[in-house]
Amino acid sequence: MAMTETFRTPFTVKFGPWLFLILMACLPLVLPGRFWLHIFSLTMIYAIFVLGQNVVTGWAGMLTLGQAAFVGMGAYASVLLTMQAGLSWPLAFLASGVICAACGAALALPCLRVKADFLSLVTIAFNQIFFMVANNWMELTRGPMGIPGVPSMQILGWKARSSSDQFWLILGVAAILFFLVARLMHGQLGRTMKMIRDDEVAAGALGVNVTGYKVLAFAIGCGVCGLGGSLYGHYMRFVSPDMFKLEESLLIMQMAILGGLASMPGCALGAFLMIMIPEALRSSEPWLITIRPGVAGATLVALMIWRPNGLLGFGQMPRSIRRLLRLEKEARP
Amino acid sequence: MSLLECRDISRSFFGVKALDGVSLSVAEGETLGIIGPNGSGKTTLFNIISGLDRSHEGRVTLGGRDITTARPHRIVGHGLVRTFQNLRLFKGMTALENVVSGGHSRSYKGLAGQVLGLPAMRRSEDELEMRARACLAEVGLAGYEEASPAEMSYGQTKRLELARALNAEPKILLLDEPTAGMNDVQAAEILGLVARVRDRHGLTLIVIEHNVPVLSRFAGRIVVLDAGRKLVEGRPEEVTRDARVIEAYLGAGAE
Amino acid sequence: MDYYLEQLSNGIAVGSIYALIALGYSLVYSILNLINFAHGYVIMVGAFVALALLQAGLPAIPAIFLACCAGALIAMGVERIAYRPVRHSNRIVPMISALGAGLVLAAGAQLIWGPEVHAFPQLIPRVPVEIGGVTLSSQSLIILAISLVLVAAASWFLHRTRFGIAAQCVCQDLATAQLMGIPVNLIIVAVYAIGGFLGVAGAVLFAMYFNAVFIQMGLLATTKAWAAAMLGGIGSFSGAFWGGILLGLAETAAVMTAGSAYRDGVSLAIIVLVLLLKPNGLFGTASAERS
Repeated sequence: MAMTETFRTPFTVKFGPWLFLILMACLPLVLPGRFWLHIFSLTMIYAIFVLGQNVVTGWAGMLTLGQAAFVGMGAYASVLLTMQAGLSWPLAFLASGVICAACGAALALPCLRVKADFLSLVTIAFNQIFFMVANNWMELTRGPMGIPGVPSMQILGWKARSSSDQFWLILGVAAILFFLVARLMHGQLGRTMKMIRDDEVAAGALGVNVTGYKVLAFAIGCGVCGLGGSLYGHYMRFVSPDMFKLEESLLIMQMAILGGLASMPGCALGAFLMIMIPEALRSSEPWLITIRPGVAGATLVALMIWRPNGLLGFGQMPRSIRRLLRLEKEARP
Repeated sequence: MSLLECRDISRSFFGVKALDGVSLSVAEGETLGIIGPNGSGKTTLFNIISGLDRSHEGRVTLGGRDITTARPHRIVGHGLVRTFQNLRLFKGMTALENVVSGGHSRSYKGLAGQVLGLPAMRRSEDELEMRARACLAEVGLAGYEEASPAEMSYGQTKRLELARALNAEPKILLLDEPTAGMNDVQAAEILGLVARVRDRHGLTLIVIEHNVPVLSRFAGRIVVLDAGRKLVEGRPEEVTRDARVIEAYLGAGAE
Repeated sequence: MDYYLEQLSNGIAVGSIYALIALGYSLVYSILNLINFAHGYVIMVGAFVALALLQAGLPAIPAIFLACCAGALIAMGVERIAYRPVRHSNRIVPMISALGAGLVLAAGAQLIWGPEVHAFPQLIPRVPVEIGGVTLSSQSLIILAISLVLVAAASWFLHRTRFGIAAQCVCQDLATAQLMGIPVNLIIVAVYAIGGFLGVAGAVLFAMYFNAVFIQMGLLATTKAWAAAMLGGIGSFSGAFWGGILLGLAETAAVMTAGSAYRDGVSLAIIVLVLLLKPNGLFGTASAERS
């Protein structure tokens, strides 16, 4: 009876993610060795970081350049909570997300009340301060030596020992996170963030509490990065300040933009491209690795000029292609 | 009974008075036109009423409630919605999403409910989308749901902004130059649409306009602003005949 | 007593260097509302160019002048390639492309000069000077004098010349200035160039004071310049100057009390604290931006 029944969600949107998930789950069975399995696990973890960045930059339209600090904060929090406080990994995992979300909100609130552009500066400064603290607070973090011997992820007595176990666990966590964030971003919350991204003044004039939603977006982005950080720390079995430098934040930002702003598949694509391409070329073309940051920078400029929302970003796909891939809602005959 | 009341509004920028003690009141169901030369403070007045700017002096009340210092998103909640002179559409969204956005203040806001897809959230989203489609149809944009504002003509984007404002379910709608940059035929068409929408929804309107002849057929009362002060107020035929208005505003064009 | 006065003069001298660098950021920000992340990298390259010219045997003054001009040229190139094509895009687009341009410059500099820290020749004599019974370092005094002259010249240029007044119009309202027939494109390029020129001068003084040129200097200069600009209120010419001096003094105080390891933390803490507590800067008068 309801009018909405005459419009259906296209099947590509409905079943595409499930198909992708099944294909990914089969990877450990077909990949030739542990090295590539490791690379794919790493890609999935980075995709989570990129997801956190994308909520802030892609949906809410704010440039943050310090996501690695929140990744690091989540990793250290989770590692310390399991190793020092004796928490089980799932609890530490959730706690690290909450801690990072709260820190993100506290950091962003005052600066977002003034001007979102300054968020990029504050996050740069925050990342460097985080690095300094992690490097110098010897009692807590062991400084530049890092914390080795981090226990692997463990859920209800099941421990992820082999690399395929770890791969599947990371895939599961990433899938759940992507699913939850997608639910939020494709609903009222994501739409409101996009309103702010596209025109703050108009959003306010239509009843949006602009500051509140910006802080919420930043808190969610930082929380997601914190959760990813926990996964990262327990997967690498080691954390050190060097893993969470500003360069890492820039890398996450580049992945988010390359893949596509405000695009779920874009998060995965960005992480995939920027990890796989250098890995694939590492042995055959070693000189490429040395100029990698420059290439990344030039790519960034070129993207901004020709595809400012990234490869799969919003508004980048012509309608004809969207129709061809059946991405648009269509009326039932 | 007046719905919106502005009393002695003053606002200056860098020592220049943009508004100097302007008072006006709008009764429920009335259409008030505001005209005045560029820089006479029309848009500043809109900004103050809708909460985007603050007045230095004076009070604004809406339905008896003081909204002088309320933030924009609160004012929308009280039923006052505005459009913008230079079209502030959401460029990264489809036409349908733009209109759905207009219903923000009515949308379901529970985070957990969104993640879990609770029935309350689904109902709210379905309702918003249905209303949005109806609003698009009402302004004559049915079939443009998936189009991006960039692909639409100027006239269509003006209609789209009107649809977006309508979906906010306003009691009082402030239109800032809805016919800017249009010829007389297009302007009459848009204002005709606005009048139809007004009558169907029982809206109170305040319209800033440059096109005085078109406005005169449409507004019940006209206020003329000049250099931040209210010059004249009255019925369209009185105002357009007033010598001071002709000198300050119409005269410049007639010469 | 003497020790403190000497430290005070050092702090002021370092601060005046930060002010020179901060001006480039502040000028671009006040006109375009853009955080030009490339600026720090531009002046880092400028400092390397100065070093290369000096090593090639050029006398000090022409070498530094040429390096400053190179900085202006690079800044103009950044404007042309990474700013102008994206001028009408969403706010964050030009910020990202500026950052991208900066990364390209950093990678280029690393390719040419390598990742290591280079020593910079001491062109300014470091001898004790006695003024009114107080001993100060000649280096600090000369640095302060050079910065003051440059800041004063830039201030005169922006406030007294036709061009400067046009630039101020663009600051106030870019769209209106364009309608009034002010060549906005030209002014934007010029502002980038002035920022690059002054910034390289600042970077060379920075290199002399700390006796080092290195790739990360770009980012370091960025955080320091922004701390200075924020302290003084962003977009304000005199604010950037006084903010720089204050930052220099704060750093010197931190080094004296807590040790030199904390020098670079000061600017970071200032960025965060200013935004938390006094977002318009200590001297800022403008109310919070609303639209």
